[in-house]
Amino acid sequence: MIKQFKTILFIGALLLTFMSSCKKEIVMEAPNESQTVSNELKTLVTKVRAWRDSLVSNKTIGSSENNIKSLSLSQNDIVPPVIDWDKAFKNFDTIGKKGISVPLSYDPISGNYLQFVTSLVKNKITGFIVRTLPDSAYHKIHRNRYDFSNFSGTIIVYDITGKYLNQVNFKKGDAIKANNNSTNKWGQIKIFEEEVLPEVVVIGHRKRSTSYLLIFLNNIKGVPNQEFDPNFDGGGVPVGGIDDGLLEIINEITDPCLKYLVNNLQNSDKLNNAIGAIMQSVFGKSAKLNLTFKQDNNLIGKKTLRAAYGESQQLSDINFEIRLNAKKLSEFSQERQTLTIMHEILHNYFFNAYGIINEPNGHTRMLNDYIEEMASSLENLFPNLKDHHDVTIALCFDNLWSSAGPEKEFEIDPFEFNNAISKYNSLGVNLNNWKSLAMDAKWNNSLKDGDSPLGTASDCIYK
Amino acid sequence: MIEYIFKLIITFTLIVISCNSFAQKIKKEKREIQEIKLIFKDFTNNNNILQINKELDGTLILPTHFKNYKNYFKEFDKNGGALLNFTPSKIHKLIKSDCVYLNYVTLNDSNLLFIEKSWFPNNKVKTLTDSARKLYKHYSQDFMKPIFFRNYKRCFIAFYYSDNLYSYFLKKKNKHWVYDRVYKIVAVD
Repeated sequence: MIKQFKTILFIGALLLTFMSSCKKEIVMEAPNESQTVSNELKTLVTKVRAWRDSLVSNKTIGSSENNIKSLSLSQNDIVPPVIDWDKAFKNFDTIGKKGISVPLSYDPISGNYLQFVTSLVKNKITGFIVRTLPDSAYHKIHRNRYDFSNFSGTIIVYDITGKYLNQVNFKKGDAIKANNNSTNKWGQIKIFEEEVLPEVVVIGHRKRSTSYLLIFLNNIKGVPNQEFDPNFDGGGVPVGGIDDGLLEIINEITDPCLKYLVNNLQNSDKLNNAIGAIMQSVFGKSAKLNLTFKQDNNLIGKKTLRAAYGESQQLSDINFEIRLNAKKLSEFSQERQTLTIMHEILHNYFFNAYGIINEPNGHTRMLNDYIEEMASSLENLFPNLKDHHDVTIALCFDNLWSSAGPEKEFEIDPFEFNNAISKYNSLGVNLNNWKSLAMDAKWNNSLKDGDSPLGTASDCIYK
Repeated sequence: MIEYIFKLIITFTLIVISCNSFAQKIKKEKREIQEIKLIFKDFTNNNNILQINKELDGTLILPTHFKNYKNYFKEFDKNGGALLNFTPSKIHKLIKSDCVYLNYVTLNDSNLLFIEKSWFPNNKVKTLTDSARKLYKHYSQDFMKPIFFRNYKRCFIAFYYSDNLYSYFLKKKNKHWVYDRVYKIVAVD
């Protein structure tokens, strides 16, 4: 009896243990990956903040050893805005060199950017307020405020109390002395060609840079001479950085004809080719964004399973991919193929520029705001179309026609499509027969049934 | 007699355990619905990340239910589920355990979650059946069930229409859901 009781008790206890272990729901807290980086940034901010507060409260500037007093404001001086330390980011992380930058103000229209920049070398902190003022022509093309490649404009340096120290004018990347226009070796953009910089994750910004703009302190009026360090481990003001040696556009297309068309657009003249400029300026010169072209001759719609010409994918906040169906595109002339490439570039540009905003949808945005840009860019690459502007515009409409339909989340409202055509008619471009006009340059003349006298033939043909 | 008492104890324990588990399941579902309601509240007023169609008076137009991932793989991403194969990534802030969980849920989810009018203030929502949405092509996007992970601190949401897919991560900040980052967006031409 006792033996039986013991067995039952044992089985019961076992069952209870099993059941109680089963019912628990384990919730795992994921470790915060950015914690380490965040802590490091916090430490740097604390150090810099203490340093800055001590200097500003003592009314001293520059090197504390020289104890230069900040006097009353002159015409060129500024009253520094309040520093929002939460905006601080680690500007560069070269080996042994660390610093933080804090954006103070930015005017997207003029590109006027004021920032508080510092560098820490061997626990010695130097810091300035720096104003970057690009020329309007330069700013128009270079929207990335950290991109100083071939910089044209002015950089003004103030001490941390806002006292004007010096300014350097730049033209196409060369520093120009204020009065005699001769290029000067100081203040030029230094390029760290061989240096390998570790990739770092910082709050707000991700930098991967092998070059940056550096203004040497020993050339800044008001700051005592400091030793020029050829290894650049201090003695400079890091204003910003961009990797202009690395293009972030990767062309993995294998079809030689299609690859050529992508390259053609990528290397187009930015001033005359708006879509090429978007491609180069938004994706090509930004260390933050990557655009990859891939070829997929079996490209089909994910739901409809229809064969597709192209596909755009945003794979993360910084990675974009265009897939092109070389086989299907080979039906078209080079001009019409190029329009498909432009179409996909614009999708990716919209993904990046408008993020989650999809009103109007991408195709409608192309119709309303980018037809002219697409047309002029196409004529820039294919001058044969310049005398047939109506054909170029018709070809652009042809490119968008398959994206017109009732599904308002991604298609162009046919009514809006017809309105756009009427608009051109009223401007004197007769598009009443836009479909037949487009045929003049749409098809690949290398094909047996290709009959587009204005189109440029493509030699890559698939059977 | 002892045997009888023991059987009684065992039976009682089992009832308690099963009640507990059942209550926990209900609690979890209740929590998910609370969070989904909060997502609708946080994203349909100012930041319409879900691209939900609205009538002029602000009434939301939604499908009758969130689709499950079995539907998704059947209708979309037919190419072996390549689009929703989660792998650890710094860019997406996904660690291994996140991916294991997300992949498990997406591969095994077969339950539809019906959208109820009571989730919305003043019941300002109109739900359309699949056949009605086919008729009015304006309302064609299919929403997939949000997946909450990291103890309801992050959420994966996705929706698709025709050949297009939009998917994002949301995160909880100050007891509200905010946009975190893109997972994948696909547009096919």
